[in-house]
Order: sequence, then C-alpha cells, then structure tokens
Amino acid sequence: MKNYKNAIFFTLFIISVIFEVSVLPAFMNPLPIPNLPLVFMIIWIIAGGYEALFAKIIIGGFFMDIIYAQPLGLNPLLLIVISVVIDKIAKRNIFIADKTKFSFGATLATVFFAVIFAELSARYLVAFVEKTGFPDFSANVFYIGLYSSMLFLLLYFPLIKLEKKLSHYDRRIILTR
Amino acid sequence: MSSVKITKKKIKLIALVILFFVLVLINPKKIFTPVRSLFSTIVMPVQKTFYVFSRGTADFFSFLGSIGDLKSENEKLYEENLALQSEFARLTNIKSENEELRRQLELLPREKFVLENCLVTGYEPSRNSWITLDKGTSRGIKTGMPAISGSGILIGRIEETSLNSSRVTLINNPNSSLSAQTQETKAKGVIKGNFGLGLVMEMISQSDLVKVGDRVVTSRIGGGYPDGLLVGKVAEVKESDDKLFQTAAIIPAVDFTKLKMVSIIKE
Repeated sequence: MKNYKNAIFFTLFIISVIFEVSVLPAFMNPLPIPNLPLVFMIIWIIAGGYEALFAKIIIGGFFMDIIYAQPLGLNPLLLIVISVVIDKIAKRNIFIADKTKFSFGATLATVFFAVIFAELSARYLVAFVEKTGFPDFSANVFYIGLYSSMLFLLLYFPLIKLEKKLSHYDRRIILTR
Repeated sequence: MSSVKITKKKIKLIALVILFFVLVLINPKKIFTPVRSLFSTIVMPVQKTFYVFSRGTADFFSFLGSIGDLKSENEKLYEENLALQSEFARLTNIKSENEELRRQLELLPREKFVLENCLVTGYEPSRNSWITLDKGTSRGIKTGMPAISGSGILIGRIEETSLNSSRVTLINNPNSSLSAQTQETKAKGVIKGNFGLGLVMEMISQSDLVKVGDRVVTSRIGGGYPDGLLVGKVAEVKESDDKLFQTAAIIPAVDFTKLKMVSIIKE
C-alpha cells in the first residue's frame, strides 16, 4: 500500500546522502555541515513509523557507509538506534503532525541530540576501529546539531505535506484496483 | 500473545544491533572495497553533476558578495603581479644558473611529474579528511599515488580506486602520516593529521630550530612522497609531552574544502 510513497521517500533519502557529500560543502564552507540524511530519516520515521521503514533504514544506512567511506554497518547501527528512540517518542504523541499535540521544542531537542549522538558515535567508533586514537572533543558537534535542527524546521512541513499527498495517492490507487 | 510478538521484535532488533556492532568492529575493508567501487562508479555521474552545479552556484553568490572588494583587491593583485614579475626574472636567471651547475656536477635534472588532472566531486562531511575524484583506474590512477593541488601543494594520497572514480585520503586524516622538513632550517619530523582540524608535526629533534612561519615541505625519507612538495606553515611550536622532541602545529597551505581540481602524480 505504501510502496509508492516509500519509493519516493527512499529516492529522496539517497539524494540527500549525495547532497551531503557533494552539494552542502560548497555552500556551508567553512561552517560545519548539518546531517541532512539523518534529519530526513527522522522526518520520515515521524511520518511513517519505523517498523514500516525498517528494511529501508538498513539499506539507506549501508548506502551512507559506501558514500561516506565509513566501516560497514556503522550507519545502519546508528540509524536503527536513533529510529527506535524517535519512534518511541513519536508514539507518546510528543510530536505528531496534529498541531494540537505538536510540541516543537521537544521535536527540535530530539533532533539536536540525535544528531550529536550520531556524530560523536561515528567519530569515536571510527577512531576505535581504525586505531587512530580518540579525537579531542570539538565544539563543532554542537553546531552540527544546531544547523541540523534548523534544517529540520525548514524541511519538516513540506515533507509532511508531501507524505500526506503521497499517502492519499496510494489509497486512491488501492481503491481504483 | 502480543507480548510474545513484542519480545520477538525486540530480540530481532537487539540481534541486528549486535550484528552491526560486530561488523563495525571487524571492519572487513577488503570485502567492502569492491562493493564500494561498484557503487561509486554508478553514483559518480550524479555526484559530479551535483558538485559542478553547486560549486558554480556557490561561486556565483560568493562573487556577488565580493563585488565591493574588487577594486582594492585588483590594486593589491596589480602590486603583487609587479613583484612576481621581478621575482620571476630573478628566478629564471637562477634556474639557468642551477641547470648549468647541475650539468657541471653531473646531477640528474630535477624531477618533473606525470600528472593526471581530476575534478573533485565530494567531501567527507564531518571531518573533511577525504575527497572523491572523477577519475580512476581507467586513467591509470592507482592506490598510493600522491595528490597535489595545481601549484605543487601536497593534499594527500589515493586510498581507493574504481574504474571512473577514486578517493583521496587528505593529509589531515588521522590515518595519514608523512616525513617532512622545514624549508628554512631543514628540521625533520613526521606530519600527522589531526582529525580534520589541521596538521601536527611530531618527532622534531630538540636540537633542530623551528620557527613560527617556517614553510614545511615533504621529505623523501620514508618514501611515499616526492621531495619538496609544500605542506604548510608552522603556526606554533612546543615541546612534546615526554619532553624528548618538539611538536609543531602546521597550517595546511591549501583549504581542503575549497579544492576544485587536483593533480595525481602518476610517475
């Protein structure tokens, strides 16, 4: 039923990974680059629930490993952990597209901390695996979290709108059949 | 019944998390590299298009923002040009003198590189410690070849290649290590990447003189890189933690995030 919607969202996710590597550095330099794929994934999970997207999260994570040249399994691991947490919070109605229940502060805080968790975990795990010694803690992690939250603000409503339209379109296809 | 279902889901989830964690720890690079090469070849045209478009747009806006400064910059460049012209005349003279002396001493001519120019198509987003290029093994690029920016500034080494793309590990990558020396005082040391934050020159003997502002170039000792490629300038000098050596913070000669074209030294 959700194949059409998820196919489009998955394509957008893949594009967001390529954007992260090939487009954002040109505009953001010398500022830290926000974690666009993670922001996109969080919005997608809020919209669709992580269980329906489980396989796509893993495939998307592997794609990130390939494009970012990081150890195999790193991004699927981080995305699964983050998506479970996001899903749990979403189910408690902290952030649902319904505006009466929508708590923007909680949503932004979740995005902010999820991005920082992903950045730090990736840096320290890669350093541990590649035996390069742990990096000094850098304040730019907070800026990555901040810019990612701003990006979330920018993308949330258009993507939720798109998700609703695509869901409606999917339902119409089912009814036509 | 439902609690059994939830438990199964949880077990599946925990098993996957453990599996991926173990996979990360094992880090099977050799198995992964061909897969990555295949994907890179497929994704490269898209990446290249995105990169060229975004760099062009960013440059355009940057140009619009800098219009006000163009007059003063033009005057400054004119003065620099005059100074460079006189420097060029002087160096041309020295070059011919050097060639004559080398011939007299029966030394080999200074090396000239066979270069392959490549377009940068992507950066690592968080640490800026690698870049991807639009050429690969089909153009004779191999793992281990040094990469320089146009004017002979060392930027890194080829880490991975596929048919039509390659990945350069930059010298600010924590895995990077190279022998170097200061141009002025010939103080030798080992330059290591500092997690994308810059470069550190270690193992400089206490008896060697290193000053802030000294230029650092590659040294042939240890192999891997040709002699005399510019790496950066000394920004700070201090004693190492064990007090046996000196350590210098190096500012790279080039901003890695602004690279558009790089050259690979093939021979």
